[in-house]
Formats: sequence, C-alpha cells, structure tokens
Amino acid sequence: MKKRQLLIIVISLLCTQRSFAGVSDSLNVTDIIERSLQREEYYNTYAKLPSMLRFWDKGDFALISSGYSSSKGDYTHPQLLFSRNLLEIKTESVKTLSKKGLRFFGSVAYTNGNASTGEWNLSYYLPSNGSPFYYMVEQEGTWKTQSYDFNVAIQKSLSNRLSVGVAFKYLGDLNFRTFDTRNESYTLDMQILPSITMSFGEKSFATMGLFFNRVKNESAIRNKYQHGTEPERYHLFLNQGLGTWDNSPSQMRTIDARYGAVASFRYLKGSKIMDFIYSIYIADEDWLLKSVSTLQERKENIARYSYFCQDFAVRYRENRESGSWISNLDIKNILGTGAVYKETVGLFQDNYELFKVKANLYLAYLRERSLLRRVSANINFDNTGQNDFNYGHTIDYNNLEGTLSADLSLGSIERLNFIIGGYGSYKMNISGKHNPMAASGNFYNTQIAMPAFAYHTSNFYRVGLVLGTEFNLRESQRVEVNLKGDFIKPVSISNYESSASFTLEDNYMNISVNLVFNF
Amino acid sequence: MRKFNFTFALIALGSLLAFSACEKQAPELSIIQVTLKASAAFNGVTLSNIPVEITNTVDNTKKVVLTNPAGVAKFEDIAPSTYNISSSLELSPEIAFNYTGFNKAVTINATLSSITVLPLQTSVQTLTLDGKAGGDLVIKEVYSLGAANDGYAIMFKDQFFEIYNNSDEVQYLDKLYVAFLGPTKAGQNANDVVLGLPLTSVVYASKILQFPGTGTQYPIQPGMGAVVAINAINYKELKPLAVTVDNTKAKFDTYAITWLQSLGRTGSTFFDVDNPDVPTMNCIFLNIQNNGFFNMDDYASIALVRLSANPTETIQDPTVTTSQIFYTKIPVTAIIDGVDILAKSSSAAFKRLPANIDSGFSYAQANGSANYTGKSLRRKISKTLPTGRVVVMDTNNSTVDLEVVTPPTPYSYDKK
Repeated sequence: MKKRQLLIIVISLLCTQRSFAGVSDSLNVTDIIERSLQREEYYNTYAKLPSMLRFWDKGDFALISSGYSSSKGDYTHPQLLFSRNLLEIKTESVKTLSKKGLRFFGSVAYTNGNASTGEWNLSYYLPSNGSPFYYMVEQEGTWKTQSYDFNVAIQKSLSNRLSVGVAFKYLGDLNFRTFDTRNESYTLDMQILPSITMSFGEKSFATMGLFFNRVKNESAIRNKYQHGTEPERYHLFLNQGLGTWDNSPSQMRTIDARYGAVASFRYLKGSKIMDFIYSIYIADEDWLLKSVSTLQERKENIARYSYFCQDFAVRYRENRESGSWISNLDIKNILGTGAVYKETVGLFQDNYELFKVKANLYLAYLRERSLLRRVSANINFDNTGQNDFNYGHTIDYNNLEGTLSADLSLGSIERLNFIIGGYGSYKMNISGKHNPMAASGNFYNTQIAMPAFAYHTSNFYRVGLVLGTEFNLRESQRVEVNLKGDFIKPVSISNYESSASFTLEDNYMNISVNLVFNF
Repeated sequence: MRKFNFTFALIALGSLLAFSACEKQAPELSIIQVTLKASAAFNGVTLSNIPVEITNTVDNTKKVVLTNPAGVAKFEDIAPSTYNISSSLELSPEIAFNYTGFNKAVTINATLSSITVLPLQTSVQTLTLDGKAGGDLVIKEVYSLGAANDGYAIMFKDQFFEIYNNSDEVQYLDKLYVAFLGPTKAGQNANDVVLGLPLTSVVYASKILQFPGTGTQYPIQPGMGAVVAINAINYKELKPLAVTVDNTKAKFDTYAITWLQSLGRTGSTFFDVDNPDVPTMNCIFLNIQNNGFFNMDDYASIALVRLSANPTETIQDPTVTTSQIFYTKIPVTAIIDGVDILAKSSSAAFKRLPANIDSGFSYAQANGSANYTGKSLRRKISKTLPTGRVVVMDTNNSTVDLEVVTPPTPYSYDKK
C-alpha cells in the first residue's frame, strides 16, 4: 500500500510541475489572506460540485507547502489527543485550459508524525460518523501516524449552458501503536463524485451530482506478544454503544459505504454571488469478521451502523471596490442507528442511536489595501444526543462557541508584506443531560462517559495569534511563511468535576509553522 | 447588505430548526423478580430482609436488593443480558441447631447461573436456600495460573494448593484424596463446550492424588496450613524477578513418573521433578495416557475428598469425539470441601461442582485470560481470634469466599 501511494505522490508532483511550468496567475491574488480564502473557497463550494469549476473566478494557482504542527495539553477529550506532532508536505493547484474548455484541480499531501492518545482508545480516532463501534483498551497509547491524501477534479464545458465534472479522492491513513503489541490501523478512503451544471440564463445555475464514498479500515488488534506462554497485556474491547461492548472481539475489517447526491443553485445579482448547496447520503458501516469458520456457521457481518447524513450550505459573496463581504452557513445533521448481530436469534438488534446537528455561521468583511485587512465573526453550534437502548443510557448536550477575529496587513503587498492576526473565542455549554440508567455501574459509564461528558459540557476560552509574511522570490514566485498558535483554557466544569480528566489549571496549545511556495 | 443579512439569518434559523427534530427511542430495560425459598431441611427460616445479588455476566456489574416480608426481591430497570443470581444467609449456632442438629454456625446459599433476560421482559425466578455445616478442613488457596515475568523458565511448574485447618481441633490429612475436576474447558474460549453430565450425585475427576500416611502421621494443627506443590522447588531463587513462589516449604509434592512407568506409561521429565526431602502424594488417577503429570488446569476446580477406598468408576467425556477421555466419578457426599474456579465471570455454565458444595464460582479476572499472571485465589479471612488463629470464610460459595491475590501466599494464615 505504501509503495503504491508513494508512486501516486511522485506522479502527481511531476504532473504538477509539468502542468504549471508555464505562466501562472497565482500571484494575481493579492496577499496571504486572499490566497487562503481562495483555497477555502475551493473546498467550501467547488470540491462538492466539480462541474461548477467552470465558474471558478479566483484564477489558476499552484503551491507547494511544508509545515510542522504541534499540539499538547491535558484539556482535551479523555480518549483523544494529549499531544501530536505532524509534518506535512502538500502540493495543490488549479489549472485552466480555456481553448479546450477544461479546468483541473489537483492536490497531494503527505503527513507523518507521532501522537499520544488517552485511555480506552485503540483506534487512534473516534468515529467521525457517529458510529459507536471502535476498539478500546484501557492503556493510553503512543502512535506513529502517516497519511497520503490525493484529490483530483476535472471539469469540461460541453456547451454554453452545460458543464460536467468529476472529482476523485484517495486517502490512506495509517496509524500504529508504538509499544505494547503494535496494534495497527489502516484506513483507505476513496470517493468519486460526478456532477453536471446547467445555466439558466446569465444569472442562475443549477447543479446535480452523485457520489459514492467507501471507507475501509483494516485493523490488527493484539493483546499479547506472539509467543507461546506470554500473558495477555490488557483486555480488548469493541465498543458498541454507551455501556454495550464485546470484551473478546475478533479480528475485523470495517467497510463504510456511503451513497449520496448533491444539488446546488447559484444566483448572481450584480456583484453578489449566492450558492445554496444541499447534499444527502445514506451509509452502512459494516463490521466484518476477517475469517469465518464454516463449521461454526458464524455470520461474517457482526455489527452495523446505518446512518443518514444531510448537509446544507449557503455561500454569499459580495465584491465592492472598497472591500468584500463573505458569509458562510453550514448545517450538518447525522441520524444513526447501531445494531449488533445476535447469534441466538439470528438477527441484527438495534442497540444505539445518535442524533447530531452541527451548525456554523461565518461572517467576514475584507477591506482592500487597508491596515485593518479583515474582521470576522463566527458562531459554532453543536447539538449531540446519544442513546443506548440496552441500558437506557442517554447523553445530550448543546454547545455554542463564538469567535471574533481581526487581521492587520502591514508592509507592502508588492514587496515584503506582514500579516498580524488575532482571535478570541468563548465556548459555552447551553445544556447537558446525562442519565446512565442501568449502566451506572458499567465501566463505560464511570471511566469513559462521565469524563467525556465533563469535557463536552465544560466552558472554555480560546485565544490565538497568526503571524505571516510574504515576499517575491522571483517575479512569478511568491513565498509565504505563516506562524499560528492558539491557547485553550477551561473556565468552568459543569458536570462530574471529580471524574474529569482535566482540571481548571490545565490547558491545550496548538502551534504550527508553514512555508508556502506559490508559483 | 442589511436586507441580505436578515434573509441570511432567517435561512440559518429555519434550516437549524428543520434539522433539529428528534425523538429518542424508549429504553428496552427489563425486570428480574426473585422469590427466595428454603430447602426442606431449612424449612421455617426467616426469608425477609435477606440480600439477593444479581451479577450481569457481560459487564460484571452487581446489584443487591433486600427481600420484602414475602421473601421477594425485585430488580427493576436492569439491562437485558445474562445474569447470575445468588443469595446467602448465615444461621447462628443456636438457630442452625434447630435444622442441622449441630451447635455450629452454617451458611445456606442458593445460586442461579446464566439466566437470560430479554428486552422488556420480567424474568421470574426462584432461589432455594440450602447448605451444610462448614468443614473443618478447607481448601485455603489455589495457585494454578502460572508465573508472570518468568522468561518462560517456570510457566506453571510452580503450581500449588493449600489445605487449612479451620477448626479448633487437630485434623489429619492421612489418606484423604484430592480430586482435580474435569473437564479442562472452563469457558475461556468461545468454542468451549459444556460437559453436559449431571452434577447431582457425582463430580468428575481428571486427576486424583491421595495424601500418604496411615491415619495419624500427618496432623495439621488448628489455624495451620499444608501446602501441596506440584514441584517443591524454590522458583523465587531461580527467577528472582518473576511473580512466582518458593515451594520448598511445601508439606507435600507430586511426582508421577515412577508410578506411570510402573503402569507402562511415560511421564514428563521436563515438568515433573521430585524433591526427595518432601513427602510425595500418592498417585491414584491421571486421565492422560503418556507425558502426563499432576498439574492443575489453568482454571482449576478441586475437591478434598474422604473415601474408604480408591474410586474406580469412570465415565467417558461425551464432548470429545476425536479421542477417548475418561473421568473418575467422585460421590458428592464424600467431598469435604471444594472450590469451583472457572475462566471468567460469564463461565457459569462450566461449573464442575454442585451448588451444595460450592453455590457460586470464582475467577481471577472477570474477562478471563489470567494464565501466566502470577495470580492466586485465596480464601478470605472471616475473623481472627484473640489466640491469633485465623478463621477463614466458608459459606460454600467461592464467589464470596475467595479473593484474588498476587503473588501467591502459601501459609499466609498460619498461626504464629
């Protein structure tokens, strides 16, 4: 797998070099802030709608970047990252072949690092899709981690009214525990997304797309060294809910197959652009035994998480001579059900449900050639509800985080430019309710649910600083150096203070440095 | 922009509300209702206000409820799962005299194992308390799991068990038997099959040893123990960093090679070592034809037995079809004391002793896989008398009576 991915990276880098050896208009974009918006704009809108690349108005660009990020602290989710150090190399570009009506996007990234995670985590991450299924072990973990991320999109204009596009994603994520019995986790995430865009006059554009996303995980879980008389070093668990677990899981692979559709509508009015994007998918995450004995007549599929996800986004851009307004609204909703196969009755029995809504509202105003380059406000809302039917164990919480930020532009855009930015945010828990019911004595409740609930329902503030500089290396080559850091500190613990994995004296810090070569 | 912002805010709010409707599924909890009764022998004992305990064999959580005046304990809002249910009542010497004819305290027990409770079900169960007066000689400790951190030099060669005089009179070990109970399967693996033979009048021994002596050669004083080691060797000296034990102070050891050779069979020179300074147990029965020795199973149920002659009646293991495995039948009435040690909390179906000998069972780790951990199962202390003599717990329920200790503790209760 490694060789194949390395080959892809090399080929992609060569392609990038060949494609963009000519004149690039990367530098038409004025400064670091504009350039970061350019990339965000791609991922916010065009990555979901490749046929819309026809209307990409930010110009071609190409970059190679390398960065280092480090995070550390005790104020974190008790199962997740207490520290992480990552090195990333990335290349990304958009290229237009106007005469042929083609536009391309490509990106390749490689990360390598190490991390330490909390107790009851043998999967490195917790499932992002809301699944209750993951491997657990009491001991904390130290990890080596690598990822290979490859994205490409192609758009072709078929006529004045019609445009088609297709996007591919290939992500390999490899995580290894570095001591004990070297547990391993390999994830391969592949997606294909074709779409078609139709113009209705000069101002209205509609897009329809379909996508298939397959996330496959192969784990090697071991709790003893592979010698004859070695004792088990620890007990393995497969979590199945909020207290429901299997304490002797077999070797399994996981396939999460997602089938979805996306629809969007763009409306132009003067200098205003408005996009409405709605995507929806249904998915089954199946846990399959790696080996099945025909003698035992055991079913291969022993657990399933079925979920439905919808994502609604609104993008608004208004460009004026003095500056521009940017507004983004994102709302994501997941509704999932976990089921475990019961051999005694020969059926899947539902035992878990999840409901989650995450919303984000971002408003920003950018001033051209001004000391105060950007001001922005952001509101994040998170509503999560979990329910384990076996135990009647429920967890619900609502959180809100508000952020204000400002960026100053110093120096000369033409020569040496400096950006100094800062932001501050406050996260508050609006409500939280935890009822373990029949799981009150279960170790999942006392050692996982209670510390996690203490973390989720705590309030914190976050302050951050961004320093950036940019200068021309040659006429068509511009270099950026960015330094970012933020500091998070809890201010109150609303629930289970004595069970929390942190105290009010703890904190969490992130720092990153990034060198970007634009050409 | 102002008009737009208002529109945008409306869209945001409307979208959020549209995405927020959710109603949770009701929990699928269950009820267990237990009615406590007494056996015919103890008919008339008060059954009110007696603790009844349920153990969820999947997550190992316990819950205790007291019986009401009608002798009923009701467990509400419990997770559907598999449960062991138990209750225990200690009768004072005065009360016990009315039922047993002996002026000696007795504990009566009852256990139900592996009761499956389905979602939303009310499971109605009956527990019948029964028991017999505690023995004078008891099995105080069983160390069968093998050494930890030994670099594979010891493995399970350091096994021992200890017999303890829990009475105030001298007892004699001469001619008593010790039976290692079969089958080896103790519920560790998902593929383990239950033996399926009845446990009402006999239990099934895979190995039998007998204490040497003529009748009064091997006395055991009140509050003192006698260790029987598989090999009477100082393993601590051999591997100082291992979790193991010095077995040179054992009162007896085992050695099967000479006996097996006399029967035309072969022993195991690697695992079986004789210490000539320590009296050797008599070999009576070993259900392995060749290369066998008197080691205990990892999860070892053993019984101390008084019989007038060697037991000889055997029965074939019905679960093994690829070879012939035989067990020797031991009458339950001949058992002085027995402890059921199984692999894990969910192994109740693999019990090797009937409830009137051991109404529960014990394990070193709730999730099993405790071999090569240096863990040992030891009887708890009931009380220490002013004379210094330790009286150990003997409620005929090893779930209650035994505790897990590391490292093993031979002679730890011996009166100084």
